[in-house]
Amino acid sequence: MCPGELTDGDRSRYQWQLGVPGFGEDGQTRLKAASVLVSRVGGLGSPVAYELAAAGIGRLVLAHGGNLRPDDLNRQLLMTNDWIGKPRVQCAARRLRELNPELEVVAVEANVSDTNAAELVGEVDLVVDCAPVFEERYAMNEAAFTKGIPIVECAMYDLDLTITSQQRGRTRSLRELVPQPPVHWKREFPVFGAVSGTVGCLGAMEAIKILAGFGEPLWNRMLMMDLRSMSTRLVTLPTP
Amino acid sequence: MKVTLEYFGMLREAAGLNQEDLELPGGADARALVQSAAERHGEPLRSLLLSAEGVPHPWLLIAIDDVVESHQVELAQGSHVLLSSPISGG
Repeated sequence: MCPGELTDGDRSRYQWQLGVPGFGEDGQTRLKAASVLVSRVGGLGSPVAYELAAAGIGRLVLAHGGNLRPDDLNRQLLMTNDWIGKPRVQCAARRLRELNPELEVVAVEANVSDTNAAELVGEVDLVVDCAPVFEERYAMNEAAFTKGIPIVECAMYDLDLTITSQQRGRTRSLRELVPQPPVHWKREFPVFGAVSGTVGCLGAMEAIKILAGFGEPLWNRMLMMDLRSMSTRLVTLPTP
Repeated sequence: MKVTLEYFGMLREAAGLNQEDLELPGGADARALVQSAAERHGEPLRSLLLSAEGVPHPWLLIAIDDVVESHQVELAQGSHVLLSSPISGG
């Protein structure tokens, strides 16, 4: 059997999604062969990683530094109360393996930075940017553009969220859209777990569509949702 | 001319409203709209919109009738303008 080829166990496990039009066994095989970097695995990255693990991604690289704090637990759904004081990313890896033992998980106890971005991005097929700090996001986005792989850009604040997908030659980069970090952006901001969970699920769906090659990813478009009023806008972004 | 300005994210919070109609001279561009909103509301919205020199921040996203445009693009009577400052993950 070739690597990535579906087994009878796979067909049984993923039967609910194998019937999705445009996806099928070919899409599932692509997911099984795919490797995705998720940075970080907090409020936003937790549901991204969880949904990708559930969907049958073959390999996840998780990058997140620091130990779990009590105030992480309103939104970081891969964390558990008994893990407070221990490395977040190891808790995330443990939970993902419990969900899907077939998944290969690489847990990196560091955030993405200029020094490790090329190496981390170099070993994956797609990146989901769930990071809060613009310098970290620029490093990840520039590494993805250098390699030419897609990156899904997820963001949130209060009850608002935005999401778009980018790739060299197809869209503008993060730095072309946001030329410098907004001076007023703060590392800590108000948000509910239900908001980070919503944009996380959207980010996972974008990754699945791009990797499996179906649907219409958010190339040159940004979905903007206000969950306070449940209003949605899909704006067209400037092309490269 | 009358244009509708909608705020997104922390700009909505700072303005204290979702959207408003603003009266601008014919031929006004998006930059003039941002400056008008900053003048109308003052702080804290002003600092989120304008630099110390009174110029719109380069990272402001301005979507006119759901198409993101440059800050110099001319507005038209009845334009709907969505104004957002970048947010991030976490």
